[in-house]
Amino acid sequence: MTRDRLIELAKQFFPEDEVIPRKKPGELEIRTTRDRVVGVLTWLQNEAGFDHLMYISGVDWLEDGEIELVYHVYSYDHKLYCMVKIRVDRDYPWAHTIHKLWAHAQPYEQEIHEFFGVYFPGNPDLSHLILPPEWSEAPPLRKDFDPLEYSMKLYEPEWFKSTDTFASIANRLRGEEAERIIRSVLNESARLHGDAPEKDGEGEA
Amino acid sequence: MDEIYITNLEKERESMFEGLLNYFRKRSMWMLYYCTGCGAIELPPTMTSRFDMERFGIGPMATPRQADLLLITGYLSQKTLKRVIRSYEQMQEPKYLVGFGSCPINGGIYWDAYPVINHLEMYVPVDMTIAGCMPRPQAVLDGFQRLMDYIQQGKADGWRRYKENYEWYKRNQDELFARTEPVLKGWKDPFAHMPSLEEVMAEEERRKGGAR
Repeated sequence: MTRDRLIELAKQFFPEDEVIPRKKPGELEIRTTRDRVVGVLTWLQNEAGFDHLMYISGVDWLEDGEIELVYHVYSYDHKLYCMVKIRVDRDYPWAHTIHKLWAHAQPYEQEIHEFFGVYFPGNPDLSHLILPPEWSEAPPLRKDFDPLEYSMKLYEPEWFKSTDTFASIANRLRGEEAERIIRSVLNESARLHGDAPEKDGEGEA
Repeated sequence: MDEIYITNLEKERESMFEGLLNYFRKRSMWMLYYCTGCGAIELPPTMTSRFDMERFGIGPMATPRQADLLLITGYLSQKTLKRVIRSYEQMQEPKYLVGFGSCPINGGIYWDAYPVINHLEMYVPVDMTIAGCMPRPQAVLDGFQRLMDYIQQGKADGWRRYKENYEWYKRNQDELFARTEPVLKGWKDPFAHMPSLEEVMAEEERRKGGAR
């Protein structure tokens, strides 16, 4: 099957969807909606010979208030590559799971859920796959997540910035001098954490 | 009585044998390299015949329990830091930890990335760092020789600092691993309770109706 024949067929089957040939030969794009995407993918898999789901990727369109999901499917028989695109609402993003069509879509959907917050009802496992299990922030690949602010707050706290020579000094100095510096850092951190300052002499070696 | 005895023994040992022990320690180091980032690519040339790390008595080791030297070669994410701490605590004393490259020092080019920690010495004691992105084998060997000097002089005592200031390190570690509140406010997951398809569709209808 050639690309033109496939486009013709797809237009026939899905008159409401946009079927667009891409610049590169052998590539096409189908823009559809959330309600019809499972139908489109089922048709591609079973009728049109697209046996391989390469990946599901997400795109955050912040200005439009939408998240785009792109299903990349490939046909080894016809050497054709097809992108199926849908857009979902950014405030309440969800899409139908396709892990019954391709079993390996399950971790892809898990990843999309992790990094874009798109929910797939029916997916058996949507726990954290790549992010740490204690992650409770916004999905990090959304455009309004500020990685710099997060990094500065968590990994470079104010009290450490003011004492950034701590490690180098403590490496060079030993004895009472280092003890005094470490003690001051401890007290400072305790003050900023809102704990009671530690008593002198406690825990001294 | 026991306490006094132990303290005396400790002092005795430090004054008499520490220098001698340090001399042997610095000359036979088993190295465990934690290949988290790109730094691991510099180690094979350092180990093999051209630069030949083994002439300084440094050799690779497979497990943390038998290693003296832990190399953190490259950036560390929150998740790997947990494993690094675990490996470090398994090692026998005396143990030395080397931050390798820019990333363990101050985050390097990943200083503004959300998964990568910026200062390794906040969580585990670092005995020596080798700056560079990545350091060449010459720099690595230079760093190791400096570490050997530190060991001889008794300055590489990160394991002792870790024991003495454990509360401080533990508190910093807990800030990452035991935090209950999100760092950035203002995010609420609408699917936190994992609703079923029917619930999701009902909520979708409700939202559409509200918009109209």
